[in-house]
Amino acid sequence: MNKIKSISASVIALLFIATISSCTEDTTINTKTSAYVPVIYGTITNQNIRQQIQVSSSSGFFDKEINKRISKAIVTLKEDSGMVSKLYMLTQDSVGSGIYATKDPMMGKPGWNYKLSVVMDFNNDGSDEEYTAECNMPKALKVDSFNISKKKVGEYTLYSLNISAQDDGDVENYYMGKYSINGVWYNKISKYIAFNDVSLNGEYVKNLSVWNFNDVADKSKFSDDDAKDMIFMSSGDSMIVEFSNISKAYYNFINECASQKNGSNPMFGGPPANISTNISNGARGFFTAYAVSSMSAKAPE
Amino acid sequence: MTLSKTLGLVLRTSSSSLPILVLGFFVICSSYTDLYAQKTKPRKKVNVINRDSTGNDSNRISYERNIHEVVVTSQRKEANITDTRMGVQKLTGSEIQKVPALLGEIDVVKAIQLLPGVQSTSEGSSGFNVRGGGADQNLILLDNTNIYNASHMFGFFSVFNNDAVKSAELYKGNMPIKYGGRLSSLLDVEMKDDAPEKVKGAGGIGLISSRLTLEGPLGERTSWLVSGRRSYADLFLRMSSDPEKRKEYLYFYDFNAKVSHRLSMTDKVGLNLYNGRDRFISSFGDIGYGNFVASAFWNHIFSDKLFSKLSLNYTKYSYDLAWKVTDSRAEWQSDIQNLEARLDFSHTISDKLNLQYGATTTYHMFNPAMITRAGYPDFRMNKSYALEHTIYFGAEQNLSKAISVNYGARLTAFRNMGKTLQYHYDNNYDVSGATEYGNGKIYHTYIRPEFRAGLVYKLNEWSSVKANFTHNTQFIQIANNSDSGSPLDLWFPASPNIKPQEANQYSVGYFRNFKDNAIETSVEFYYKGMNNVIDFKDNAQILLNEKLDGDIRTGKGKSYGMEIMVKKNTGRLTGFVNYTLAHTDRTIAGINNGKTYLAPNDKTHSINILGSYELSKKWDVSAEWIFSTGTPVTYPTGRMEINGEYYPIYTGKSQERKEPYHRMDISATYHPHKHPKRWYQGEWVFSVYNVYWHKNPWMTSFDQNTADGYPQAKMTYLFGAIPSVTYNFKF
Repeated sequence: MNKIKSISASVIALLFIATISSCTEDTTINTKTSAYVPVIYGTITNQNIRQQIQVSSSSGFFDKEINKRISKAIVTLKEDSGMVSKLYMLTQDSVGSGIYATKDPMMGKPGWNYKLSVVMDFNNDGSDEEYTAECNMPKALKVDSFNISKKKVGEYTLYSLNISAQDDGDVENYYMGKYSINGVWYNKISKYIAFNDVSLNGEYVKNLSVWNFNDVADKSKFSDDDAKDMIFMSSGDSMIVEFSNISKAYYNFINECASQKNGSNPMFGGPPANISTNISNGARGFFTAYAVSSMSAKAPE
Repeated sequence: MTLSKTLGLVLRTSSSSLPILVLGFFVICSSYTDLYAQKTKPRKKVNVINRDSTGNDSNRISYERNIHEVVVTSQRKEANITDTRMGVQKLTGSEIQKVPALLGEIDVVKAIQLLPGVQSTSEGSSGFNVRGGGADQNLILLDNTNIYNASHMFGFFSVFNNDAVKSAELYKGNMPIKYGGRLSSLLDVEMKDDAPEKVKGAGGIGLISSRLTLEGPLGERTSWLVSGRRSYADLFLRMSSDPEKRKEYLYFYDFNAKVSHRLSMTDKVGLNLYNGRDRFISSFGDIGYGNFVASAFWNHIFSDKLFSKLSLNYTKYSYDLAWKVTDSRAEWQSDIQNLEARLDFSHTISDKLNLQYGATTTYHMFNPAMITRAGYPDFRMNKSYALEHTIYFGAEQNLSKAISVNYGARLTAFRNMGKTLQYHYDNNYDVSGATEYGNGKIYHTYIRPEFRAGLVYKLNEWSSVKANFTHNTQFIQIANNSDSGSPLDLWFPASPNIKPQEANQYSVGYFRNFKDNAIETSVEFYYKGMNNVIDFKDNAQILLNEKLDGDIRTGKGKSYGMEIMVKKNTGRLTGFVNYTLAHTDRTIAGINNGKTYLAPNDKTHSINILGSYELSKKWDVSAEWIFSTGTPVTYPTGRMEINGEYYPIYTGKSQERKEPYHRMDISATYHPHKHPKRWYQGEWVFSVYNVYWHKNPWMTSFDQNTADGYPQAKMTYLFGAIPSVTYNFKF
């Protein structure tokens, strides 16, 4: 359904832009800078890797330097099945990077609970504060098949990602996909594929189109400004998608990152709002866990 | 037929509403007493307006003859002094025509936006805010029937074709007692019903659209009017070298029709129709939206004291989207409809007491969305239904020569009705259950009163003080958290989860006319307190959300301000200057951490200046200048960085403001053959919108600079200086 809204908003936006003589130019606005807060972001997956958490500080919106990474944090991860639990200490490979990783590769387990704790003296008052978040790893998404088809929508050629799978019925499920095209991974959250099954009602879906990419041949039809934020595909491209079942909260987080990144549009966007977080104690960011089902396909001629 | 006024000039009508000239003597035959004879300087025009049984101006007869001394109108020249209501502004079609317009499209709503206390929702928008209220808190009527979305072309033009408009009257709170159901205002637009003795026409050819209005008699008892307008930007697309562009359509149209028939001396029936739609068809997708309105009425005169109007009104606003995929086509449809029956009485007890009473009943149908696509499951959101029953009673009373009052009350029962699925929510706004109600099952009722009271104390012939109180209730509202005129309006009713909105407005004012009422001045102060006003939680999902109620937060709001108006009505120079000082805010739990925040339409200072000057018999010039404080805006106060992307952090809502808005529009009208006896008259209108090309910010967005990767701000403005030329004609 998210895709439908996205398409319809695009239809209106295109027509709206064609209707009016608007002009966009760089400008300077004076904004107040709020007190800095910690930003904690990390995901735990069922892949056998060193799981990572990033700890940094917020900054002024227009600051011309990279956000400060926090290097003096104590980061721990506790996994709990309800029967057994285990505590992991995460450390930085490179002090100052703000990237805290488990010492050894570990696999998250679907159904298990994960609790993150970050302890640090962020506000430099001489005493530590603790920032926590908790999540449960949903079971993996079982995708029976994945393929890419080519279709025409108006004057545009799209590569459509299609899946066949059994929907879970009355339960609302939320999904994401991280992908690589020709070996290049797209890790920015605003590029993630996110969709849900709200309209499926437990049916078996065959070749359900869940996402589209524009053909690189159509790149010239977009402004440079728009094109720089888009991902294009070509015939023969090979794609790997890591599909995951995610929580509704993380699904919202992904969509909010995509919609709030560039501010709000008075015609179609809602008012500006903070991206939701599940980190406690006033920090921002997100912590979640998900199981990955990796699929690959080739873009058709 | 009643002879209610006989003047020095006598105008006789036959049994029809059509006039007959009789050797310089006229008898004013009227079914109601609101006709006023006023001495004026010699004029060549007399307006006779027959106010019908329900208080509507049903017959306007305009003559262009060499008659002198007397002008008969429906309204006293000093009405702004004597009327008990405050915050009422009336604009006639000819006054609206003097306002320079975007691309030459004369527009009722754009003219209304120049009035004190009224502001456009955004640049170029047909939405408007009245005294701090939301755009959905305005009741917009076209010939007594509700218009849910009065915009064309994403709000740049309104649905009202000015050639067919007789008048537009705005009530900023104390609306006539027969109307209610909105917190902020009533915009009452009436189409022409001149009942001319021969076929007349008016029209125009502009850059955006062309229009034609014809009206005339059909026998002695029947009169008719048809009016049409269509834009033609798409016709230019046919000339494109790009074959895809040649397939595109981009237009809007309006069609109005009226017919009225006098059955007898005491009975008149009529039918009004409006159909208007925007249609955009491209190779990528289509969108269409518009209103369909139909109403039928029967006016009956029981006696010279008692009149009634029975009417049946239907209105529908709908939009549809479609997008084509290789093997199928997806369609999205949404609409709101209502069917209303109403009976209004107007009862003159004495010269000092007039009563209005009546009842209405309305059947509301809400269809939020239905999406279909071949080969995929349909997505149908739950429809909802409601009944709204109202009885009302009001009075206008002259207590003495100096003091007059109006007072009244409405009592409304708003009843939610099945078939629908009603979700229930816990204290965290999470769904705690749902109940399915069968077809026609009434499952919830709100009973709410509305009150109106007004008092005028005439200090002397040229000045008065007034005080008004209103308590209004609103049962349906729009779910739209954008600032501008998106056509994807989603109206939803009060329900067990959403209480009706309520507002109390108190206003006082001083009114003073100068130079035999040629110059009107006023200063008004108002305070409006609102309960159960709505806003949406952060990152709310408005469209295609079955559980929209869970994203809504309700609380309190207040507005207060001062409006100053100086208006010159006659002479070669006419126009007005007005200034509004205003404040409006909201306090809603769950929004802005429960702290009070400025409403998105808060504009501290607004100045509107409109002047029209008759340079010569052939040339008129007009200019307007608009200034307002920038609207509140929420800018990021920090940023977070995740995986190489920056995302904004906000610390409060509406804490900054956009740059002030201002622009000047000018127009010049050339009448090559301005002579009243000429059967055909044309005029050229040359205009420039935003003449000094002020870049008024419409949207501020953010992006990561391609060079250094850090966030930067971008400002979008809609219009530079836009010249236009229009040819208007009438015969």
